[in-house]
Amino acid sequence: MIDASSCVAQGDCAELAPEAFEVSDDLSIVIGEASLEELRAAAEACPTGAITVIDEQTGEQVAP
Amino acid sequence: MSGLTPYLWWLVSRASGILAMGAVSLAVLIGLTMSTKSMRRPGAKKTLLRLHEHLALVGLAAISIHGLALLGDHWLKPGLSGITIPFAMSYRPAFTGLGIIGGYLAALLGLSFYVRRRIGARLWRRLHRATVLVWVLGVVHTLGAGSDASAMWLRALLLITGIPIVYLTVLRILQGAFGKAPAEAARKRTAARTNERVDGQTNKRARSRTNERARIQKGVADELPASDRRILLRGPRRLRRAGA
Repeated sequence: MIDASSCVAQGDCAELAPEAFEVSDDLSIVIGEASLEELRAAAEACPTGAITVIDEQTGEQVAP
Repeated sequence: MSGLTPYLWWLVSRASGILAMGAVSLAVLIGLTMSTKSMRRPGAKKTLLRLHEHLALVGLAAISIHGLALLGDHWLKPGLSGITIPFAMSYRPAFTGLGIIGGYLAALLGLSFYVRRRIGARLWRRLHRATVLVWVLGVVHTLGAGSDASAMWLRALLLITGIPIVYLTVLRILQGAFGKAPAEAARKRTAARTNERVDGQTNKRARSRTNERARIQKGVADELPASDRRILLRGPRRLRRAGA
């Protein structure tokens, strides 16, 4: 999940998990799926902490 | 101390003006470094972003002190209108006026960061790009109206910060104009990886990634913890605004 109001479109997420994120029109958006490893890396690299990875089944926050 | 008293507010204004110019220059430089992807280490960005924010706040505070301190200056006597209304001051009105406009612009663009939830991230980001104008106006104001404009150390300071700022600004403009912005590059890489898979899995890395994903999806990767067996993001999905 991306908090659009925190996103500053630095694009690290799109570089680390290009199949899951894309920077479009000055905002990062979710475009697909990626491995947990990539999602974790993207969430941890986000300079504003706008990305939260949540386990769909348990609802538990996995990253950052 | 008594010898300094008549000049105290002028000295405070000079010092805060120099501090403001230094802080704004560094804040703009760091901002451009991040936006042009000149810093490749992802982990460093969090530190840079904090530094960028704090330098901008220091710059704003220094700009305020720079203007307000002049109210106490016995020689200039600008009055409230002189420090708040562009081109109203009798002393070098064009250059002081541009400085005042730069100060307002700094406040507007800098503080918009804190209301970006209200105005929207896209609008905020577009506004934020204009921050380099604050630096340009600051340089013109400093050289045209600054008491230390002719000092070599000040010119050296402006030059040392100015060269990378101009270079990165041109780079940023070119990245935008020729579609080589980071976002575009990431999009191309995504497309390339997709094509790799479509083209018969000839690429070893692509094949490895696909196999890894298949293992996780089936939940049979015993070496992974249970939480790692799931792909957390499924299918195209538009982002959600916080609170929406």
